[in-house]
Amino acid sequence: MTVQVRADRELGWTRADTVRTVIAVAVAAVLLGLAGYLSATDGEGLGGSNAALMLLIGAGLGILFERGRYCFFCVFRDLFEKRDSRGMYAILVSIGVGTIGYAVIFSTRIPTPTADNVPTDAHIAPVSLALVIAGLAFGLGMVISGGCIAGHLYRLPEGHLRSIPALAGVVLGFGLGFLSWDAMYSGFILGAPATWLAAGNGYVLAVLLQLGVLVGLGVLLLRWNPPVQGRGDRVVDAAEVRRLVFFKRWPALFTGAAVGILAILAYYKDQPLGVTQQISSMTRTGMTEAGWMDGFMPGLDERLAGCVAMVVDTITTNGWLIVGIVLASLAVALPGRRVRVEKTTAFNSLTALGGGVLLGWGAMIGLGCTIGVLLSGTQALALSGWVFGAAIVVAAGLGFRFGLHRKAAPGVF
Amino acid sequence: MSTDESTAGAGAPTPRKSAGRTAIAVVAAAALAGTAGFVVANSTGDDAGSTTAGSDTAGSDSAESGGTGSGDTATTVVAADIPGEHRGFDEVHTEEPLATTDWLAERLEEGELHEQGIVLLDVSENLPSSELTPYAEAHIPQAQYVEWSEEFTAPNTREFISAEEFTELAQSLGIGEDSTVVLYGDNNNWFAAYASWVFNLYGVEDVVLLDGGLHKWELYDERELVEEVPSVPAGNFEAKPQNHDLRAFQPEVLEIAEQNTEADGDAVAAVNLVDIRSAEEHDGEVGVDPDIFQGEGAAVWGHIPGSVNVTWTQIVDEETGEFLPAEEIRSIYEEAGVDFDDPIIAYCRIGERASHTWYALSQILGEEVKVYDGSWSEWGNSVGVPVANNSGERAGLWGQSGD
Repeated sequence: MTVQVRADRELGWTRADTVRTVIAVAVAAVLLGLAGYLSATDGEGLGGSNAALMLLIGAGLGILFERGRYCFFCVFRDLFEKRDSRGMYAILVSIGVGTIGYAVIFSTRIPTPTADNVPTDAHIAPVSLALVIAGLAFGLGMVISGGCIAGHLYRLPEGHLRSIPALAGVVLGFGLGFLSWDAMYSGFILGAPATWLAAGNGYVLAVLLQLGVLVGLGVLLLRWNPPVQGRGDRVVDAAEVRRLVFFKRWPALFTGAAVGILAILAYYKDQPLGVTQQISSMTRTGMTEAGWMDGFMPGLDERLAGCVAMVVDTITTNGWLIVGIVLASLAVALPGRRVRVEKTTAFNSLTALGGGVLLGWGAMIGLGCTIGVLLSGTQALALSGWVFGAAIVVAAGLGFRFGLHRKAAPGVF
Repeated sequence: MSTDESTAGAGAPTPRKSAGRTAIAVVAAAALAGTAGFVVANSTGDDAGSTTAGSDTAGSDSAESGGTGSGDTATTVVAADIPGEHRGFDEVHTEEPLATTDWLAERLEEGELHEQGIVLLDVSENLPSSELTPYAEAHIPQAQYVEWSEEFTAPNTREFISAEEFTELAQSLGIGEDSTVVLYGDNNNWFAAYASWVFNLYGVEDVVLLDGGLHKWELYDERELVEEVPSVPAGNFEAKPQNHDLRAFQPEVLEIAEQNTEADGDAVAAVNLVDIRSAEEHDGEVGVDPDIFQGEGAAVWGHIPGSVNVTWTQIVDEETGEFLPAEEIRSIYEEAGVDFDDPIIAYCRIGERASHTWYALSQILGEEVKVYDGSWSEWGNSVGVPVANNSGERAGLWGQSGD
């Protein structure tokens, strides 16, 4: 039996490719130079000794997000709209790999996990109605604005200009979140249990349970896994490597495993992955300075874990992570001809802004986003990560079903 | 989970086998759900207990190690000599201990403060997180700056400068025998209150705090700040030896703690101990954040047995930063269990916030109050002294609480 396979299109090399490559190399050089500088100065006054490492971890994430399309918006859209679950496996694998790594790190620090010694630096947050509401708002905001917060960060260099109003909306949303924090905290969060699955059960049972759930989800999602298109016989030469690295989407399993490993590294050396801390902290500092809010926030400043906003004067390691994501995404998107300015209108900018407000508000009340709470939370064996994730999936499912993303940006999708 | 599996699975499912598959899937899902329910219930059940526990349950769990066993005992509390005398509280208590920002603004309108017998001093902590303008950038007109950590403490020793050195400092600031010293600072006057206590220690009689401090002046009233640093004529103040009626040392506190420890941590001694740190620190759930307060850490967490916990924030108005009315302050401490018939010793971590409470209790209410300036950074690092911990577990260096 002969199978008809579509031949790969010749890539060729144009003048534009030369320009793109030069820019990409320059961006990469800036990134590495910055890391070298931070390393040489020990990050003095610029986030401390972990600044260089977190910049590079951010760069790794930027590359993986861009090349593996590790984007919660895209993955959920594929799932709910195109009935294609392939991207979901990257997320499941990253949670699985991260879970094991986190458990190893936990076990060296806390031999006997109980509810009294929950690791305070991991993102284990109270499970309350507020978390569900935050997840629903976040999921809806993601559908409307065309990406989650991490997604906007890496898609902006790809030319997704709606990310600009969306990120502006995120800042506004954080502001609204701070103003409504007192009510949400005293109404729902105060006294809610911060359930850590390892507490009282040991790491083995908790990890096995999570891996079991992940496998279960993986089996369930097979129903929506479309047939794989074959490719013809080929020699791995320079052109093929170029195609695989810069043009073809990286395999979900590789992307997921690599994200999981970076998450472990980040937690081991510095703090759990998350992309909102620097942004929300800057928002808060600005608002405090403008006198729009008090310097002290009950609950938030005392004991809650997550991508919590502090009053900061300078860039933190979290800021370097974001810089790394944005620059590296640009550097790898360019050689693959993936930087294209997308159609942007006044209307779809406005909806992106509105969606961004929902994202920001949800991330503030939920103490993080898809990366900080969903990914870093589940990896840390926190029930909050699962609850937030479930709320996002429900909201995203409904949003895509009703075509909110198309209504918000007609003609784009 | 691998791609091979997934492509195979999505191929063409045969309807006949689906019944068996469904059964397996149902069993697997049920097992998973059951385990999940068990794990969540297990971890949550524990957790509820720990978050509600904490406050007043185990008065002095670990306070039994006081050394009442048989055989020889060794004395661990060091007997360092600190010169001083007991002069009572007459020169300490002040008629009007608080100056309002309005009053200060009027004095500034009138002209040079030193001609009116007033010395205005800024004593601030200048944490980078502070929203207030540091002295070096701008300050209240005619204010001079006193750096608490260098100017009135001795180098390389945990003690204040000598009386002679204090005379020198005070004269250089323009303090005379009849001067009114007005102190203010950031962070709700913590370090200004600390300075006021030190100034009283050395016999400066008329020391007042600017109520609300720099916060009230700069942010609430939005009054003017200037860059100009004043020069003032030297004063003629002569310092007296430290007034040890204002200052408690560890041996004295240890006696009280031992009495309370024998009564299972109840406050039975005829001296009130007031711990003004946060409830979590008092309970022994947390230590200090070494990133911010390097050098203030303690090896053991908890509180001195029998001390009552009234966090300093409870006695100031949140918006203006001013002290609450005297009677409200009194009732807050009475509710917390302070018996105003007995003298009071206040402590915190290094003594500065305790000075804020000292100011309220001694200067505003007119009670007899000492500051135990060794505070938790001495007590929590001392060998053998009794410690009470409400967290129900070993906390600190030998606990499992991590950092």
